[in-house]
Amino acid sequence: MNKLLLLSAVAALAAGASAPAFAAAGDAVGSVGVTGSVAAKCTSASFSDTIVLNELAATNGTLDTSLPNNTGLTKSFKISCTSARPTVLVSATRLQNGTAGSSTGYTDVVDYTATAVATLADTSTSPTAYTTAAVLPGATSNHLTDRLANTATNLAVTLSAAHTTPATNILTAGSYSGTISITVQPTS
Amino acid sequence: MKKFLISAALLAAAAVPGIASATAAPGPVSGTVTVNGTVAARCQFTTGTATITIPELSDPATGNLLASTVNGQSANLVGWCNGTTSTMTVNASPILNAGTAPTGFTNRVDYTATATAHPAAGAVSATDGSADSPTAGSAATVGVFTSQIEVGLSGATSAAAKLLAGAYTGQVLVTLTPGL
Repeated sequence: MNKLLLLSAVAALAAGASAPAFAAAGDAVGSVGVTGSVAAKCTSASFSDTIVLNELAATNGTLDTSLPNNTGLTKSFKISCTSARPTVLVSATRLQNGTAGSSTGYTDVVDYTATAVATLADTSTSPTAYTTAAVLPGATSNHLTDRLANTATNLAVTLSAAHTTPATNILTAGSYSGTISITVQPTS
Repeated sequence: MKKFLISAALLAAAAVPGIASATAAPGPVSGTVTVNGTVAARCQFTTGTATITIPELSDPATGNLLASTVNGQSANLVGWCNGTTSTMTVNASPILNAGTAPTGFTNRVDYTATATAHPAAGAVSATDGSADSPTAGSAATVGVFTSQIEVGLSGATSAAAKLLAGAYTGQVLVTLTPGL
């Protein structure tokens, strides 16, 4: 009897009707609703990389703003968001020499602009730029106008406009490091 | 019986992995791009040559060296180093006349050269005497600095003899060696 009732219920679902035509008088008819949902979220299989600038100084010791020894100023990622209009947040820390202190005429920090360019589903692009400074500003926020493109990469992070203040300061020797932080929020 | 069947179906749905993941807590994704660079230790002279001209070396009364014509002479170079362990050395060469001095005469004047740089923490000097040329003096740590480098002469001596007439030339070589 149990088996018979289950089969009847499955048959009713397949027909998509609450009152199946084949139901005979006296049959007990059951129904099971099926619902699902997709949460707004953003994920990425790999969302970290390193921009290697190598030697920063020109022959006169000041910053070579063209960063001629870099091995690539842009790093690209694929971000998957389920929401209609994600928000991109970008912040960064200054390139800092961890060992040396600066003297008059010298500097141990390099400022720059980090730009995260999102490619959208409508094929347009939307940049979010952040420039470091002695007093770091708050993160730059950009509410995208469309979904992120579902392509191999859809977020390109680029370093540009490297500079010291003043430009005539000589860079102290050593290793310099900074961090660009990007957050993609699943906003609608 | 009808009630039992519906409950069983709901339990089965909750156990389906696809449904469970679709209802996971929503959230943003964050990433980082590390930026790395280097600056090599180096030193450079922006003014790397200077000349000290001494019109007359000898005492007009005796013909011997008049030390005061050398002592106190100075010239300025300008340089910088960007590494904290950078050093400066001085190598002084005697002031010589190219001729051969006969007995009772000399063609050589020795002296001590001192180079003084000015890091923020205070002046740093390196010295060398020309008597042991071509050996350089001890290195002095100048670290990170950009400044004038004064090169001064002192302690001039020569053999107790008259200076041979003619042109005399010497050299003070100041070397900045970069270090991290």
